[in-house]
Amino acid sequence: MKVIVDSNRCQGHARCRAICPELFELDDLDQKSRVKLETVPPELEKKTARAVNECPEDALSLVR
Amino acid sequence: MGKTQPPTNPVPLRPRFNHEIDPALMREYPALWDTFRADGRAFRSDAARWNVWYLMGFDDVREAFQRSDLFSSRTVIAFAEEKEQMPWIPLTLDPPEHQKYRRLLNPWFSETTAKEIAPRVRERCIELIESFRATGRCDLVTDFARLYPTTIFMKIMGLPVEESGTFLGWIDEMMHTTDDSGVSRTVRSSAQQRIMEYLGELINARRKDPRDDLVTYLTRASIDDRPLTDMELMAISFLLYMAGLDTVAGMLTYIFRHLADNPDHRKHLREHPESIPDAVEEFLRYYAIVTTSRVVTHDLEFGGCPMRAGDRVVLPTAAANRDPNQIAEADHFKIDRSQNRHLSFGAGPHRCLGSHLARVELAVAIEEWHRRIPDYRIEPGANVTQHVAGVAGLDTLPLIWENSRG
Repeated sequence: MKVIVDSNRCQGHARCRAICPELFELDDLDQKSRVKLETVPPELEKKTARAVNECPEDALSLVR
Repeated sequence: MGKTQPPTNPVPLRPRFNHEIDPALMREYPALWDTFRADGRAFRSDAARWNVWYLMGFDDVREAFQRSDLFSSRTVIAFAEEKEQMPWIPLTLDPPEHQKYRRLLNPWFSETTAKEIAPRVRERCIELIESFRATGRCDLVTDFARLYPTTIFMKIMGLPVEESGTFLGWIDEMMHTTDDSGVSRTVRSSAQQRIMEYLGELINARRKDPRDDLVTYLTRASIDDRPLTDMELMAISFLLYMAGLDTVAGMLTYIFRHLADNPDHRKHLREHPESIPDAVEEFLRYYAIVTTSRVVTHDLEFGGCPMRAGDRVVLPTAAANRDPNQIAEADHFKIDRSQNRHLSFGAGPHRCLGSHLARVELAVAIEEWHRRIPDYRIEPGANVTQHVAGVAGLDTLPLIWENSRG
């Protein structure tokens, strides 16, 4: 499983980082989220799904 | 535009409705939005020379926030003439201009920065609670909710903390004198004038004597390879000043009223402090305080409304957050809600700059308060009223508690 950030939609709410800091980081200057890992480790799948659902901008998507 | 289905019914009209002063909304905020939403996804008010369209659903409100090409923030007060809107940078700028200023400010309000200053936030929070704990009572509004975010924000800006009382008085006059009488207009503009004069002096002082604060940073910052003008500096400082002083305070009043009325929720947060961040999201969702507005840039149909250029759309974040199509049991407060999504900090390019700091401030307040004052209630007989305007909050919240730990 992969997660993709649409950086046009991302506005730096940082919900993804709050929910799954292992996977997401934020750029301080442009406040866009970035995915740190190429693929989502199985143990993070649940948290990742929550992060995707909670994004207020719908900027995250899962690719299986 | 925005999942529009052809309108089956004409958009309801609420004659002369103005959310800033509507008595029913002031009594029943935010639940009254649910009643309105049941009549349609939007409604229209004729209280201005232009149409004012109120959007009630999550998707429509969010799309209006995101589509700054269709909905400009050059004026954010729905019932004010465009020429009355003073520049609040970056809020009243649209992309791409907006982004230049926003990028200057982002590092000061990033999630990382918010975490870095959390210890100072905590220190200030404890200091305030300890200042009244032994008395067994406080007015949450004047003794805590307003002073706490204000002094933290003033430290970031470089404003003298001991003058916070004066600033809060000006803010009150500016933001809570909402009626349209000539007297109120004069009060508002003279308060605004005094704030501007004060900020002007501050900017000059930091130019001569730089310090490690946000105002100093801004005096040295540049846009398009030129320094910021005095007008820009004032417009930025003014917006940050207003946005930072009144919003967290409003949220705290709803949080503490809720917890005073719900002992089981207090217990839950005391016993599970690790669940406070999730609870904060639910407080933010359920008691959203901001109702802002945008200008329609050209004729279009949106949310089932036939909009014309120059009309305004009102974006009540509390209405969006309670949309049953968006979230299960949206009109229920669930302290342990684990799938949450809300627009309390807006969406799109103007997403609340202070959101990360606000979240830290709210979580710290809940944690430290309940360590020190685990049980409390609203003073019997208290008449707790609220204002809605652009930023909602309770006007007063007298709390009492047993003073057993002295």
